Amino acid sequence: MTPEERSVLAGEFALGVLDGPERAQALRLLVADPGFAREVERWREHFAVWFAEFGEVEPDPGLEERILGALPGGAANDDAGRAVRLWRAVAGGASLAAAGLLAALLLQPERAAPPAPPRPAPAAPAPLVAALDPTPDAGGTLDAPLAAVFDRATGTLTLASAVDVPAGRAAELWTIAGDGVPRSLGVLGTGNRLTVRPEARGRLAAGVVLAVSVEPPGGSPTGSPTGPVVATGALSAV
Amino acid sequence: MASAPASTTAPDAARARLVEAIVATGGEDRAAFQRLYRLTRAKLFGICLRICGTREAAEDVLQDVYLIIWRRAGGYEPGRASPITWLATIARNRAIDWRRANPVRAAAGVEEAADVADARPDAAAGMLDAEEGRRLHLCLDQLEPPQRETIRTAFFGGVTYAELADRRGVPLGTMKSWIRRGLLRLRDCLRDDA
Repeated sequence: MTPEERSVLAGEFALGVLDGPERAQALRLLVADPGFAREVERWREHFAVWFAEFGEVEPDPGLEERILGALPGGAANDDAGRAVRLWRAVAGGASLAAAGLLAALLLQPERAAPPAPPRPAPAAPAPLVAALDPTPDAGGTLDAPLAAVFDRATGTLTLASAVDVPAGRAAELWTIAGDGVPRSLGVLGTGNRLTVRPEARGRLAAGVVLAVSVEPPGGSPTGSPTGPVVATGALSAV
Repeated sequence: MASAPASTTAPDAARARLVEAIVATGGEDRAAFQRLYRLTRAKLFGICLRICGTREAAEDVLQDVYLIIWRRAGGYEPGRASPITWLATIARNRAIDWRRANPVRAAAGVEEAADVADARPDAAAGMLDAEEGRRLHLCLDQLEPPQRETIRTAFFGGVTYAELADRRGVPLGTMKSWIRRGLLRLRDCLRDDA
């Protein structure tokens, strides 16, 4: 892809005209390429001047009360029960929506190069990717599937964008394998990155489910998720 | 509760009030959130209505938008984005998600909201960066009319290439080529001015 093509793709993505495999390609670049992400950001800033031209319209007066009533408030007990139910559902398999996005991410050929030339450096293992589907029952913390990439060479897990957690809370990442028991990978750090400790890296493999839960700062005090599970998706080899 | 004092009408004051309300909302301050809602609901509803097409859908989306704002406010960095841009981007992206998930309902509702699109710049204009705006408009003026119009339509309507081609009655490839050439020229123009 030439710099011009890349810039145009960033503009198309910021404008919102892409869908299907082209949108998936842009999403994948957004994760893999900080330069592309900056370019999308620049386009968004340019287009933002148009926001002034959207007219103002008053919504229904009753909406204010509806929204204030929908804010998460003190229902801690309920959250715990919901987390258990969600974990059962997650252990049963990743969602179809996530699988669909993943397929789009993986099946779209990025370049037209013939597959014939031998791959350089076969020693570097291919990354693992997952499309993390938001779990609506958790309170809609995410509003769109979130791409995750695990670089096996460096042990770094990167999410395409921030996970929204309430102030004073942290996003913790988990693996769930065949036994259905969530095991912590650690708390998501700055840059939406997490360096997985070397002894835990072996748990990241194709087919294993990756999940994100909202926890106290520093992570779950119990070793198991205590807060709502906000997104899940199965890992695949690229 | 501090609703807008009559004396603060200048853009800077409006902007400062918004920043304050977002930052306090990030600390789970419900009164600040309510203030933020009252200051911005009409602007954000205008965006949702324009893109979703019906009041019913736009109000559902607007509720989602404010719940997202409630959760994300703690991560808002005042130095990085203007408050209205930050809020409006959440509204536009959420409304576009709704359109992608409800293509049939979205297409039926477009006419109802068509007149919302090209309203004159309003009070919120003052919250945006005027200099940036002049540059974009200057560069847009250099585009061929079909390029300029389709890029604007895409932004205001939140529509895909396929929908744009359908509305203009041109092949998909033609639509893609208009927008891509337009974006390329915009990019060069915006870079030259920088």
